[in-house]
Amino acid sequence: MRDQIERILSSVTKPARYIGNELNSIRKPHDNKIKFALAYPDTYEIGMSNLGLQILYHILNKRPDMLAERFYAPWTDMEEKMRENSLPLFSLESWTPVKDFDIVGFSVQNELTYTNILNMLELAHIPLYRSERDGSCPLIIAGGACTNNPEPLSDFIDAFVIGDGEEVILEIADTYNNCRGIPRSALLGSLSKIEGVYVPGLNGLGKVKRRVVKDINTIDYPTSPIVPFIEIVHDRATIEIMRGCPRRCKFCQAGAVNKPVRMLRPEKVIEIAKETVKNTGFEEVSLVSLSSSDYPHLHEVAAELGRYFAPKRISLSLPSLRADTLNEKLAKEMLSVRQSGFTIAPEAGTQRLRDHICKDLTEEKIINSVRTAVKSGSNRIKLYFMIGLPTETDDDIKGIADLAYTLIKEARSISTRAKIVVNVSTFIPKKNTPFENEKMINLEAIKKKQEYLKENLRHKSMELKWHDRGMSTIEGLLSTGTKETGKILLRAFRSGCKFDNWAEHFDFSRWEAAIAAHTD
Amino acid sequence: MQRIRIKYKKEMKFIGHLDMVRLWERALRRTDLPAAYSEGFNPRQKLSFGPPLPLGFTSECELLDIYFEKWVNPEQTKNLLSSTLPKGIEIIEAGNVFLARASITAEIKTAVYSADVSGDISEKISEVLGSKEIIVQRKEKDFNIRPMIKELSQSGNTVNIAVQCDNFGSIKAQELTGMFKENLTGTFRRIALYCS
Repeated sequence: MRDQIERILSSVTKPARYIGNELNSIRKPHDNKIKFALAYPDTYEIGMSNLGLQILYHILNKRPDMLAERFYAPWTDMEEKMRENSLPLFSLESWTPVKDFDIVGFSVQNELTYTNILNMLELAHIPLYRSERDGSCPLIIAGGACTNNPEPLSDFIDAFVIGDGEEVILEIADTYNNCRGIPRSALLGSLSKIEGVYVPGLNGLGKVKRRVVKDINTIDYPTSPIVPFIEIVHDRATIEIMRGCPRRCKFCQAGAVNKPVRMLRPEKVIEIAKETVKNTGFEEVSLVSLSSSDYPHLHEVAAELGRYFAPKRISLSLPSLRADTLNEKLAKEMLSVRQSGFTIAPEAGTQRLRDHICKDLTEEKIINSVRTAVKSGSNRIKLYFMIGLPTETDDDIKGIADLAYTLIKEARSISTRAKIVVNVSTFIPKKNTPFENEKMINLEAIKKKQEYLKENLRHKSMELKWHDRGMSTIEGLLSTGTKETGKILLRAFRSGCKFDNWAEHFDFSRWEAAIAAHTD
Repeated sequence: MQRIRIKYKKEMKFIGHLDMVRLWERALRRTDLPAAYSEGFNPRQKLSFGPPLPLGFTSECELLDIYFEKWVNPEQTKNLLSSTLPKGIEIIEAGNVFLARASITAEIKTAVYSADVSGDISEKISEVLGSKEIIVQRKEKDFNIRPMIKELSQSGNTVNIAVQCDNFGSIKAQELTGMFKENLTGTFRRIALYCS
């Protein structure tokens, strides 16, 4: 198989996606171990940027009786070659067929990767339906943000992790090991007794208690994450300083389901950051959370890391900073080495709508923070808005344009090089949020609002970006979907849908056909 | 300034030149050696590479110049870097070079490649050596690569070819592999870089 893979690799784009062997990747002998294959259903560059998988990879490989290897969705040229040569999907570390692992775990962070999950199972030569799998197949599990509503995937996945994965992953692996040699149904029965595990058909979703790691300081955090050969989406050291969000924005799934707010101790953040840079050589460290401004030790941590990293030319980035808390001191610490942009998310264009969605930001605060950011050297300001929010009127859409103009005027009065990027996404109701029963606007309405903004946001220093409305519609379909929706998903996959969050692959007409065929 | 000589083995052939640049920047940062940095908004280590190794080729002779802020023992450079490289990259040697010396790309004139082949290719070799023109397409135009081929020979199952590799021109990877396509049994290796 090795020769075959190597031959194929010589004829595909970015072969480095498939070779493994990166610094800090772990290759263990396969004898007598619980073999875990961790998957992200998108390209290497996206999957490798997922922090959760890096943590699980580390936790599993730390155990002497376990091993974890990775695999990602092969790009279409690679898939073609694999199908042509009947080559099954293989892991990066040892080029072992995925179906030879004991447990396959998918990280599901985005509904538009669902077709890729089915495609990867097929490429691994594993039956798609869980009802068609027995003990000779790996146990297929899934975790991540999307298991907030696992139902559309429930015909295809044996067990879902609802909530934090760091502790439960080991319990699942141990349970698997204790159930070796007994029928698959007995294993599933044991799994359904673990807190935070949903086994479709065995324990009702409503009865599953979300798994929560009480103190995130206890997590064995990887300070030697894998350093990729090729450039990935988040090509830097990432440290999660806080889990959960104290804000209560009504649309936000991440904030609603990740409770309570838990923080990494400041000395731990500093220690992990320094250690990670030493072990990886990354030129940038990113402190992430849902709302970093609400991390009470942010200044202290940023100051210490700024001091330590500046002479090493390592830059510090703080995404998810709330606009109202940016001050010049913090801005300087962030920009100590490299120039970077600044992002704020007013979400709505008027105060009325911001109040309605509980986005605790005033226009004055937004303007002040943009001024501060530009004064401190950030010339590229990114604004995030949503259209289609509950109770939205034409005034609110006009408000987006008005606010963007106000901000570009303010920014350009400080620096004529300032640019504003307006990102517009479409509101999608998510389960377990205050807005879960709200309706999503239809394609026509999205189009109308996007066209309005296109007409009314014309400025040489302004750029407008929006989400594809077809993609948003399908994301909405799946995020609020049921078990029945899984049948549409399978139809869409069978008709050729994959890489749905890639503009060059997304084919709305196929999805429309799948929906129509299902309702017939 | 120090010049190091590197081997890229096995799967490392799949790592492109720009990715290699980033790999060395990060490796050097891991060693904490006193690397010299460029000025400006995005300071970077001052590294200077030889002619890019074509994607898909392994090498026994790549060169890299590293600029330091202060004196570093070359053995220390070699040891510290070696301890933090991914499998498949090996430092053969490190040595100090005179700071005013020409850059690697200005010095290198010739690259020697070798590849394993099957069957008798003596006819193919005589044909290449006997011809005045070997026309390939570059930017949709005919281009003669024959003047860039300096030496070509077979020894056993290996073909060796010395080609021009300097600022005035070099042979591209697919032109090289194209010449022996039917007979190739392995990948091309760069085995030497020469200043003449």
